[in-house]
Amino acid sequence: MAELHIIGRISSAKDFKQPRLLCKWSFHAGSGWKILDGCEEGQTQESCDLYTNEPVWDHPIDLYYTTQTLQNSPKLLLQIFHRDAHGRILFGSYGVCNIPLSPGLHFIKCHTWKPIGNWKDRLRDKFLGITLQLKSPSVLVNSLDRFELLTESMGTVKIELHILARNFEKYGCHM
Amino acid sequence: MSAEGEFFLSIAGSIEHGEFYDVNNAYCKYGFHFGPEWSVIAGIEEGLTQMCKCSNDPRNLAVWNFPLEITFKSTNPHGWPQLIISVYGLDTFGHDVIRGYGVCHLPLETGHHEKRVSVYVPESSSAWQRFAAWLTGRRPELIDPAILATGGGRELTRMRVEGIVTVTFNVVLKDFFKLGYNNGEQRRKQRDLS
Repeated sequence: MAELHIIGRISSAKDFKQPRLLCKWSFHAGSGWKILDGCEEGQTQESCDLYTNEPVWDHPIDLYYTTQTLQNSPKLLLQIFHRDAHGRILFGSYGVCNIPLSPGLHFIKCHTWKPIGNWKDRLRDKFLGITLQLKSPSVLVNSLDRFELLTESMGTVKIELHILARNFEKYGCHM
Repeated sequence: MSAEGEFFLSIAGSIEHGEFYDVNNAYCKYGFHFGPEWSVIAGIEEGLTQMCKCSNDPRNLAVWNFPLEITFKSTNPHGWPQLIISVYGLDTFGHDVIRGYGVCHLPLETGHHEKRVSVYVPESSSAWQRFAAWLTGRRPELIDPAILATGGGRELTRMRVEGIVTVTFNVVLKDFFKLGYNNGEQRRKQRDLS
């Protein structure tokens, strides 16, 4: 079986309007991919940078997958939350990004977005901070039901990943 | 010398310097965190740099120029070692206070690497606590900075970025490619040659 190591970190966020951000992350992979070691989901610290407005999380990721297939390779789901002026933690945005399979160091920029509904939802978002959320974030992974959504763009999350592969060549896969 | 299935990671580098928003002297403590299958076979696992006064120019650099030298061995890349940096310094009242924590993975590729590691401090949760912390010098600290290198348990920490530390590494890997691992650098070399 081929083995894949994903070692790196969720580094930072930029271009968000809110200063104090945190991120919930989880990896999703198809049934052919088995996780042997490492944590597949987690939550970063809440961070702020008063000068550059690029909060740093530096959250370590260290995953060890083994696989028999290339289909449904791992994806990283991100949910960004922020703390508002009243100390509440509110939902901010969603992002999803593919994990590159080619070995080496990759700097990934994941652009994020949030759902906005009709004018009533937008008013509630503006004045109460209640953003619409998806019923289950796994909708992000499938690409079928996205057309129904109306969304707005938010900031970017920077991710830094080292990919180590083993035995893929043995099965004739070149990455 | 090396047993079956083992590979070695040898690091020679240095903690070069730090740049901070509003700190004028600092020293740095470092340590390594690694998975259960890893062990240190040579070198010093943790250390303390000198106290450095920041340069009196627009760069505002605290130069440590502190050598790092360590060799690991392992059978599995999972748990790849991470460098944990804690920066301390004296505040206006002469208290020894935390100036930042930072963490980074050691490079997974051979050769020379320079990494810029952001450092951040835990924040007090209210204005009153912030004032008391400033006055008494007892600021919020992490009991064990190794929490930064593990994924869990970081949910409730609130951090504020305080600066950036530059670290350089020279990496040598032994028996790593023999075990069939591919970190992408051989293909890049081939591409550079052709």
